Amino acid sequence: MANLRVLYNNLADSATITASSTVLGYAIANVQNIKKTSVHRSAATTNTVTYTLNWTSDQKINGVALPATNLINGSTIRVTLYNSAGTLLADSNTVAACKDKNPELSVAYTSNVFPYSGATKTSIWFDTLYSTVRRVDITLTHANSLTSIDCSRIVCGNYWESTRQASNGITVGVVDNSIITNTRSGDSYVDRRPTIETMQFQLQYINDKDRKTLLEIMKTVGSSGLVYLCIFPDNTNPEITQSYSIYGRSQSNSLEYALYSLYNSSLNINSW
Amino acid sequence: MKTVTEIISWLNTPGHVKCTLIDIKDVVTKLTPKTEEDVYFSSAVYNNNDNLSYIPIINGGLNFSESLSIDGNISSGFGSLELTNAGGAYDYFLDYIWKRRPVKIYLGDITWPKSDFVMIFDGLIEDLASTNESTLVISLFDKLQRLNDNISETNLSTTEYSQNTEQTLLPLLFGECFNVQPLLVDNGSSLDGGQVYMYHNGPAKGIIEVRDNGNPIEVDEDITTGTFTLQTGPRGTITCSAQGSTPYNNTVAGIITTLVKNYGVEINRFTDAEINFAEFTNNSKVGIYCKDRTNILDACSQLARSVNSGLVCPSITLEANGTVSASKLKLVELKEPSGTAKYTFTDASMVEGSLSVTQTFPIRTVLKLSYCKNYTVQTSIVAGLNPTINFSQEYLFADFSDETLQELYKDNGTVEPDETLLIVESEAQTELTKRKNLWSKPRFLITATYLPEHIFVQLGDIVSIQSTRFNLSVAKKGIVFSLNRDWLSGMIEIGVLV
Repeated sequence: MANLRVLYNNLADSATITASSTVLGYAIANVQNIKKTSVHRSAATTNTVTYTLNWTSDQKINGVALPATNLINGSTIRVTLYNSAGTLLADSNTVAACKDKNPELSVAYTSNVFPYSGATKTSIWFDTLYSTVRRVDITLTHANSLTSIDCSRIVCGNYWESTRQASNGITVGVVDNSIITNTRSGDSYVDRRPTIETMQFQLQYINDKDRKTLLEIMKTVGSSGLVYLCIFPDNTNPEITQSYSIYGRSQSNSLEYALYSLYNSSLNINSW
Repeated sequence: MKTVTEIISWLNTPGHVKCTLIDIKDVVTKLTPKTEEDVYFSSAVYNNNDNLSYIPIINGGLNFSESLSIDGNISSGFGSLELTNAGGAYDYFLDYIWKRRPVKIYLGDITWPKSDFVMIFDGLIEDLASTNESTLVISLFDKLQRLNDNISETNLSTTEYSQNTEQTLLPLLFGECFNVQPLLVDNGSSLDGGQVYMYHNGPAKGIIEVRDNGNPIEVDEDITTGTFTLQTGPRGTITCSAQGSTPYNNTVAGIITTLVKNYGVEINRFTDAEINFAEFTNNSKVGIYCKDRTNILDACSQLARSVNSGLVCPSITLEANGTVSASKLKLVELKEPSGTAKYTFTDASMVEGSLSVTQTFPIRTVLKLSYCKNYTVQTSIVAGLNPTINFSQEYLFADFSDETLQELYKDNGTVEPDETLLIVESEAQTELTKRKNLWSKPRFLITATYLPEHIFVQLGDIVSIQSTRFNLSVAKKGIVFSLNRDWLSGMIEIGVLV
């Protein structure tokens, strides 16, 4: 069973990306900025879109993640990797992408509701690292026919996997910034504002190699960069995979020297 | 577009997500070659399919204040928009030209198409500035600022008259004015006749009487040019009483309409579609003579003040069919609140802890109203020439005093007159009574913050207010005197004069 995996060096930002269809004003370049609300939107003439990522040199890739889409239960994802000769290196096959994120907002489910816990996350993890990848195809199919697919960001690269799984007590939460006002008569009024997700967990007794990698991530990515973290990458239930995935920034992380050559770390991630 | 009723129902629906859209027209984004673009901001992400790119960087300061004034001075609305500029991402906005660009603000739900959004502000941008490293601020004002301009810059040098070597501004007269000093435009040489005087630069209704040092004289009148020609040389100061600009109108609303539609810089003038004086029913007769450089706002202020009213340009206009349209000029008469209340304010819509008495207005135990302005005070006129007219004082006065009130409030009974441009004694008396009814009893400004369901309240609306505090257990009628809107939260601070 796989342990938690972290994508921290996003190779998609250096790729040339094309989309099989695009609505004017929602360019594919939007997936290469870090604004959750700036999206690529596929044409609603179908319910499928394929993103093609190309590089001019070989890349090391074994993980692909989409941290904010409007896919719903029944939607699928397929990721294929190719080398410079166009030879297929890996194929995830078509698999379930996610579950509904926020049923309440699913009526008009577009990127407009992404800031209100309305985005779904989906990811594909290969157990093998492919070092000669020149092209990645990501094909999404929305469960509803004739529906535009909104996608904020594409993350791909070589993930780090801890040799130990996160300890029990993983805490996920939602910080709701809505403002509640009380009237003189005692009623309350809610002004709904955006939410963010949070995740806290402990990595206990990791080895020296993991310690070094984790320290490197803390130093190079820090709190300013974005990481995609998935606690249960190989779970067959996409809802579990999604709920315990987060794309965000680390906050006040620490490494503790526990025993000889064994270390504890406490990680705290807030979503983007 | 949703109706007002639908919007209020939506605002009271749990789980709705407010989104404010800001459309700014004709921003100059490049000087060479001059490039104008429309710019769109939003308070929440709004990715719709009409190819408008709303930049979701409004992060606060999305407010607008409007107020009436008890002294009749015009109070323009003002407000601001704060834009997130983290890391200097939008520093290039500082190079754009934003000044006086029209801006419209819409409110709706993030899931609605733009066509369902309702307009909540229609005004102008004052400018864009940066208050700190990570914030840009756009200042807003209402359309009244378009009137912050001189009525006319036309002077004698642009005419064919003999005095065209002078730069003196040509006079303008609206309504009826008493004993104004017309401008000598021709000494008779160019027309081979008598001296020519102008009292209105343009077609006028006509003169009532021309006087030479107070003595009525015969003249040849030309109403097409607002001038008259003396038949003999003048002996002293030439003055006249006249009725000015045509189509002739001598009411406050009528003259203001003439001013805002026809004077000032052409691009800033108002159209009929931008004026809504239908609810203003005061038809007292007034007149104003502008012989020096006069600001249109000042002139409108003097006219409106004459009938204890204020000229305002509310954020939007509520139409009779329950829809919202663009902002229109409006006259609000400040008088004792009466009639049917448009809204009822109770504790159910007041935010806890926000209710306060923000102003106590002084009781006026004595009132003095000046009217029938004498534009040329002449103290040396020979007695008996025109015995029915007193040329030596600037105004006639209407008075009111209440000794009981003076005793109660320890008032010494001295007062400066309220200057008006009224011209009829009976109407001055009516105006005096109106002010007496308003100010001879205790008046308070009751301010509270209200839930978004009252976001469409406008200045001058008659409302009913009831609360457990400030002697409001029995509902009182009041007039909406001040508004401070927070468009981000939808909350609105309303000051009610009761």
